[in-house]
Parts: sequence; structure tokens; C-alpha cells
Amino acid sequence: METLPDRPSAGLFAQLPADQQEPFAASRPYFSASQLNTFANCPRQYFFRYLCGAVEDDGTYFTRYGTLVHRALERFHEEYRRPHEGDPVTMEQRLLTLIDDVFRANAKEFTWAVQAELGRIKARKVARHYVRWLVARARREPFETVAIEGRQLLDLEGFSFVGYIDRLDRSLQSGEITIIDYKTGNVAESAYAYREKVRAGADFQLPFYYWARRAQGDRVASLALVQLKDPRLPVEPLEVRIVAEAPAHADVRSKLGVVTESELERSRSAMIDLCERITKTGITRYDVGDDPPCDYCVYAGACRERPAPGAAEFAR
Amino acid sequence: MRAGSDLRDTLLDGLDDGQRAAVQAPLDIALCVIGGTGSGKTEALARRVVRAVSASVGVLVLGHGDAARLRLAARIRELGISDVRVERFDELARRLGGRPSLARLEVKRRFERCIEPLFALAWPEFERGDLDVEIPGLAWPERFRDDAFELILKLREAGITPDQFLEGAHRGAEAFYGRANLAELARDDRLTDRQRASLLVDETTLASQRRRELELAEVLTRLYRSLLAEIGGEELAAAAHGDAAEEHRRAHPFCVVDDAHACRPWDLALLRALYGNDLRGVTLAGQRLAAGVAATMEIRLSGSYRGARRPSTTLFRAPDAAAEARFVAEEIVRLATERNIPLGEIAVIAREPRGTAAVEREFAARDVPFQHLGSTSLFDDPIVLDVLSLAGAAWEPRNAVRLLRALQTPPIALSDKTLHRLCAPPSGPQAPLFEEVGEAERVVKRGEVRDTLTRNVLEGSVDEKLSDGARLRLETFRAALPRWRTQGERLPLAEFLVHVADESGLLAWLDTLPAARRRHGRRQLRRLLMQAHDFTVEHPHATFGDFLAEADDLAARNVELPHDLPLDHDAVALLAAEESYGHEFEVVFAVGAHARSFPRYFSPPSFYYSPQYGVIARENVDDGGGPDTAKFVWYSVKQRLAEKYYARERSLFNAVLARARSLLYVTAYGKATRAVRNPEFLEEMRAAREEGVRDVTQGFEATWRAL
Repeated sequence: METLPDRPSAGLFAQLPADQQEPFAASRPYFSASQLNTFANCPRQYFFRYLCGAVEDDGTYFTRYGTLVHRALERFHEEYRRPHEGDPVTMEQRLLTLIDDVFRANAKEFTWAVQAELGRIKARKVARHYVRWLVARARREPFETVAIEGRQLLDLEGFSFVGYIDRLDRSLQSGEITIIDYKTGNVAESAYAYREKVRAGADFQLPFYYWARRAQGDRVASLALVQLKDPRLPVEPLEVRIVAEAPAHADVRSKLGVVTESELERSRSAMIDLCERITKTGITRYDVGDDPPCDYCVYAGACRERPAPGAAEFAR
Repeated sequence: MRAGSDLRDTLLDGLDDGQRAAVQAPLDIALCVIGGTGSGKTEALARRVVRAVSASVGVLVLGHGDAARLRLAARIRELGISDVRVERFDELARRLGGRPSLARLEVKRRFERCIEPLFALAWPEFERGDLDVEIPGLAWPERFRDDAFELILKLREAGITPDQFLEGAHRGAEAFYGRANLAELARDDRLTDRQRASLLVDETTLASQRRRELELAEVLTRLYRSLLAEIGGEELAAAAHGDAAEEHRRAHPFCVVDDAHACRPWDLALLRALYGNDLRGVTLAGQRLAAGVAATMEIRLSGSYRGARRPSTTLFRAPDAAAEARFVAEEIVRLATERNIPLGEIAVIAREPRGTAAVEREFAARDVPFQHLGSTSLFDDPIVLDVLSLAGAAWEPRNAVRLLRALQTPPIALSDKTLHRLCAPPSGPQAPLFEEVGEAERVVKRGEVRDTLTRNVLEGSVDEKLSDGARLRLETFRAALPRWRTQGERLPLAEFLVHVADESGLLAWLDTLPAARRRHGRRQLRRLLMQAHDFTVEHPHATFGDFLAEADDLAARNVELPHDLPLDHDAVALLAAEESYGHEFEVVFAVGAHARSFPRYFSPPSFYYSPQYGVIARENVDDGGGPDTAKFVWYSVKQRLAEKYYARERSLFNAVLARARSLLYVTAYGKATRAVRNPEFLEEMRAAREEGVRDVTQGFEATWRAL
């Protein structure tokens, strides 16, 4: 059996001058909310993913499923911009057909055919709930979809941001805009929890959408995160209204909540600060986050500082 | 070895009646010695071994947990027998076969091949429409695969053939559907809303669940048959093939198995292949009877070998994992310095190996020597990954993840600034950022990104943009790669790894670390060399690339690898609960004694099988009812599955506590749950307020608030 030497050699690099650690400013022609969210969760992951970009990230089953559901909904709303005028049965049938089409056309993107097929079936079940919710919402307050997968460009004090909003609805009664974001993964448990994330600078999505639409002259009233994950449950969006002042007492469990304009303003400042740190002040070392999402990070193997994987919480 | 008369005089000294019976029972029977923690099984086993050796009977001693094996071996040595080893089952299989044994992992890999056509929906039944793809559990393919594999192993061990399994599934469906009174069960106020919703389903849904259950049974039967065809009984070949089994039995007619409750189906199958179905000559000792074993004689030990004295107990709940780990480390430092307790007499025990990671970090920060006892995953260890990344960069420089890591290893230590530059294209215009590219074009662009780092490192395309230090380091690394590649082709695996670790300076760097980290790093590297050595033995024609693939696979599966490194007596032991059997320490810290950690949450598999009730599928894929099938909820309640699971966890927890001779610490972190469905072990102890038990949580709470 080979053994380790008791007195190892100094090594090839021992006499070489060090590569000095010093701050460097990265050239970033654009930012996005998801990039900054990544930075907030784990700066090291941001460094690897966006500044190094050395590895192709094929994503997971969940990201593929989400992409296809988004694609089907995009086509669906192109056809039904005023859902209150549509026939619910026809609408449902149309969405089911679109889901069949996109999943079958892209089945090869999944690791296994069974994932594509069961994903399709799951998406069909979710779609039924979705149309029911959509019709009810449209009848309660008719709206028109004014943008679908709309590319949003925003300049924040010289920093270019880009992003895509799943859907923008304008109320036919008040003219107010609601930003709709489809979520096929987990979302915050309540509107209050989501607001806390915004306040803590851990989620820049809503602030980005808000400021992007404000820059376009829209009166943004609310953001609805529409969860399309569980085929058993009716669709019940997590919805935050944008208000000047928050009520004194918040229901911490409700799906309906608020976020204040001043909180969005602070978030905007935080976005600018981050951009400045990355591109102007410079960062010497991009550290690992406090609770980094290593499980799905393709750079986990490259990350020398990642914490040891945690113990399993469920017995298998 | 001692003289015979001395031996007879002392063999039974100090033993209770049960232990004496265990030592004196005939050697040529199937004997089961059952006893809880501290009942003296190890002592009885050790003396039984001494008795056999003194009678010139060939002995084979087998065990599971490394710590327990070492302890049993040590006790046998103390009794004067120096030439008996306590082997692992996989070692035995390999030794008997004289060729690579088909270990469980290999069988699982083969099963994964068997299940691929199902996942690809390539079975003709799908094409013909004879089989509905909505098979319960299949929506999570990896989990379905693992659960199917485990079930098939159990069926095989229980001697249930695929045909019998299918027959039982039909019989069980007949017994359940239409006969079980679900409405009455749903009135049980102990049920959750989720369970109740699953029970209250209409006839149509129930009929659909029945159909799907039988389809699942057909699928599992087919997979079972595929596996049998694939392995052809090969996993037993090492023992059963040719004359090896007979030869072994002649040389070792007496066999002792410690911690027999931990025997896997393979292990028992191997024993049966060697000693026959009646396990004649085999003594199995454990906390409970191994499944499927019918002993000629059963002896239950009820005494408390360690005596009735309870260790002095301290309880502590921390706000988070880091605070818990800090408390443990600080207490250990205090015990070692103020009370002169040797570190080797202190153990930190968690439910599973990864549960001690936070404590390990605190030890490293305080330079407290530590060692992992028993099996742990190896290929996610930082120093192991460092060596593999350096050697791997020579072998597969296109693997950007490994290359990125290699460039950050301490000997090379390139800065983030340099890494950023190395990942950027060398020259020419930047790619447009928001181009609407087609799929084909996108693939090419991604490919270019992936190759950029490799190209810049190997070709030096951006060297002129780097600092002097970075450029010199990169040039040196670049020059070493082809040399290492050649050595990787020429040298044995382990030697190659040592060479790279040494020449790169990684070993020299390791030796600059504080003693605790240095020692741990070297132990981990020794384990790596052992793995490399074993891999070479099993795959004599394999390349280093094959070893890298094996390492990646084992890491992805989180396989916990055993090792035979000797115990250090001046280092704190870190170990998992199941590895703690047979061990005793002056001081034990049972950490993470809270729900989700110890015990882990109960998570039933995708399906059960009962000879009486057939297949019990968990997932309800129909629209009506709750997320689980009615039969699954009915069976779970009837069989009290969760309660039995938590009872086993409690028993294991108590076994951990019993490892302490003088001082016991039980710690946890986070807010306790209400313990409605899962117990909170620490909170139970805090609430009991037993005499002699000290709860120090309050004192620390004040300190945290002040901080």
C-alpha cells in the first residue's frame, strides 16, 4: 500500500511569487434580478456563474418543467388577452393542447422520457386549476393582458438591467397594472414572508419589475406570484400590493400582503450598490453565502469553501 | 494463547447467567444472542470466540460498524487471542471469491440499467397502451428506482420469487378493496386532515387506485425478473461458486457475527451460502433477531453489564447549529484541560456522519484533534477533492469544474481576479449579449464558453494579462500537466496520487496547518489511497479516468465508505449513531437531538409489500382523495408504521446515551417542534427534570441575548 511521505517536498509553486489577492472590477454590460438574487444567496455562486461562466448548466427537471409551462402559457395568453371574454371550456381545452404540444416537442430535453410524459400530465392538471382561477379573476375584475414575456430594460444610474415579465395585466376598470409571475417551484409561504425577503435584500425580482414598469410610465399596483406546482391544489397566488404605508399589523400567514414604496426604493438603492461594488469598487474575493444553495449548483465541485453537505432530514 | 486450564477457569468469570449460557452453548448450532445496549453481548461473544479457538475450532468473526469491530477485536486480544481478525462482510466476499465480489453498489448499478427502459418508456406495453404511465411513485424516478431496488432485495432475501410476489399482490388487493372499512377509520381523531382526505375517496377513485396498484405490481415484478436475469445469482458467486464455500466451511466451522441486526440481505445470503440455510455453526449477536433467521437456540441477555450507575448528564439547547457546535467544542476543551480527560475518551455522536460537520469545524478552529470512526463519505472531502482536481486536470483538462478547483488549491492559489481573466475569451469582439439565437447556435456558444478556461490555461492565451505571480504559477502548472498525465498512465493509481499531492506542494501545505487539521487531512488522504488501491485490485485494467468517474459516482450517491485506519487515542471520536455499538467513552456528546436530525423525519417509501395485503402504493395519482392512496393510509395506521419507526429511532438514541461511562451531554439546536408526530428527544429529557440531570440552556440564553 502506497503511503504518504513524512517529509513532503516544498512543491513546484513554493518559490514562486504569490498571485496577489486584490479587488477587481468586472465588466458587466447588464444585470438582472435573478443575478442579484444569486449574489444575495451566495456571492461565490454569482462569481462562478456570471463572472466565470466556465460550465454549461443544463438545469434540472424542475427548471425544464417550468420553462415548458411558461412557454405554453405564453402562447395561451397570446390568444386570450381578455380572458373574461373567452369561453372557459374552450380556453381550458386550448391550454391543454398547448401543453401537450410543448411537452411532446421538447421531450428530449428531459433526462428520461417518463419525466416528460408525467410532467405533461402534471401540467395538464395544473392547467385546469389555472384556467378556473384565471376565469374567476377576470370575471371579478376584467383585465387585459398588455404584455407577455415582455423584455424589460431598465437603467438604474447607469447600470443596465434586463429581465422578462411573464405577463402584465391592466385592469379595465382602474387601469392599474398587475405584474404576473409564474412560479413552478417554491415561493415564500406568505406575502409577509416575501416582503421580508425584499426588505432583507434577498429578492430583487419585484423591485426590478416595479422600477422597470414605472420607468415605462405604468401605474404598478401589485405583483402576483402564481404558483403552478401542485396539481392537487387550486391556484392561489401570493399577491402583494404596492402601498405608500404598510398597515400597523400584518397577517403573517396571508397570501395577500403589501410592500411599501419606500421598501422598493431601498431595494433599488441596494441594487445600485451591488452593481457598483461589482463593476466599479471591485471585490477581492467573492465569499460563500451564509446558507448557500449548493445542492443544485453546478460549481459545487469547484468551490473550495462550500460548507460540508448537511445531514439528511428525512429517513430513507 | 493461554493454557487450557487457566482459560476454563477464567472464561466464565464475572459473567451473568445469560452470558454464561451464551459462552457455553454448543458451537455447531445456529445461536442468536439478543440483548440491548450494555447487556454484555460483546463480552459474551469475545469469550465464546476464545472458547472456540482454545478448542482448536477455526473461527470466522464478522462485524459491521468499524468501531464495533475494532472494539470486539481488541477485547478478543485482551483475552489472549491475537490471531483472530474481525472482518467486514464485503472483505469476506472478496477474499472468498478471489475475484471482485459483486457488491451491493454494483448490483444497484445493474438494477439502474434494468430500469432504464421503463424510464425511457421503451416497454412495448406503453406503445400498445396496455400500461398507464401514471404508475404510483414514478413521478420521482430516482426515488422510485431506489425504493424498487430496496423492495426487490427484501423480496429476494425473504425467498419470495417474482411470481409469488405478483400472486401476493393480487391476493392482497382482493383482501383489501371492498373489505376494509375506510369510513370508520377516517373517524379516528388522531388522523391528520391529509390522511382523512386520502381515506374518504369515492368508489371510482378506489377502483382506479386498485388498478394502478396491480399495474405497479406488474412493473415491479418485471423489474425483479430483469434484475435476476442481469445478475444471475452472481452476487453470491464469490461464496458459492466452486469449492470456495466448502473449503471455507472446513477451515472455519464456527462463525460469530456481531451486531447481526445490521445485517443486510446480502450478508445473510452470504452466510447461508457458506453455512447452509440453517446457519449451522453461526452465532448471531444483536439487539434483535436478524430478519428471516430461525435460530436453533436463542439467548436473551437482560443484565446490565456496565452496572447501574448513570453518567452525570448535561442538557443544552442552542439557537442554531453553530452555537451548538461551539458549546460542544468549548466543553470538550474545558474537560480536557480542567479535568484532564484524554481526548480519546471523548466522543461526539450524531444520527449520521454528516451530523458532526459543524462540530468538526469548531474543532479545526480550536486545533482539537478529531477522527471519524466508522464509515463516512470520502469523495466530498475538501482535501480529497483537491488532490483529485490536480490529478484530474492532467487527465481531463476539459472538465472546467475540476480545473477551476485545481487553480484554487492552496499551492497554486490563483486569485478571483485571475480566475475571472482566465474564463474570459482571449481576444476579439465580445459576443453580443441579447442576441436571439437559435438552439443550434446556442449550443455552439455554450461550448465555446466551456472551452475558454481550458484553452486559456493550456495555451496561455491570456498570460500577458495576468500578474507576474499568476503567470508564473500558471506556466508551472501548464508544464506539470503533461508530465502528470504520463505518470498517470504509467504509475499505479495510489502512487500517482501521492506523486501529484507531493509535487504540487499540497502535502507541504497540509503540513503547515494546525495539528488537528493536518492530522485529519492526512487520514483522509490515506483513506483515498486505500480506495485507489482497492479500485486497482478490483479493476486491474482501469485508468485514472475510470477512478475519477467512480469517485464522482460515489460522491453523487453519498456512499459512506468503511475504512480500517487505527484509532488514535489522543483525538476526539466523531461517529454516527449506528457506528457507536460496541464502543464506550468516558464522555459522550449526543448532538442534534432534535426532530429532523435525531430522529430524522419519517419518510415512507413509494410502496410497501405485505404477503397479506399485497402491494401498498403510496402516491395517489388520481384526482380524488388526498395525496396518498387510501390503502397506504389504512396500512400505515393499522401497522403503526410511523410509531414503529420512531420507536426504533428512540432505541438507537438510548443506545447512543449508553455509550457514556461518566459524563453525558445531550444537545440540540433550533426551536423545538410541538412533537405531535415526531419526538423531540432533548425536550423530553428537559421536561423530565430527573435528578442529577443538569439543564444549562437557560444560562446560555442570557449570554446570547447579551450578544
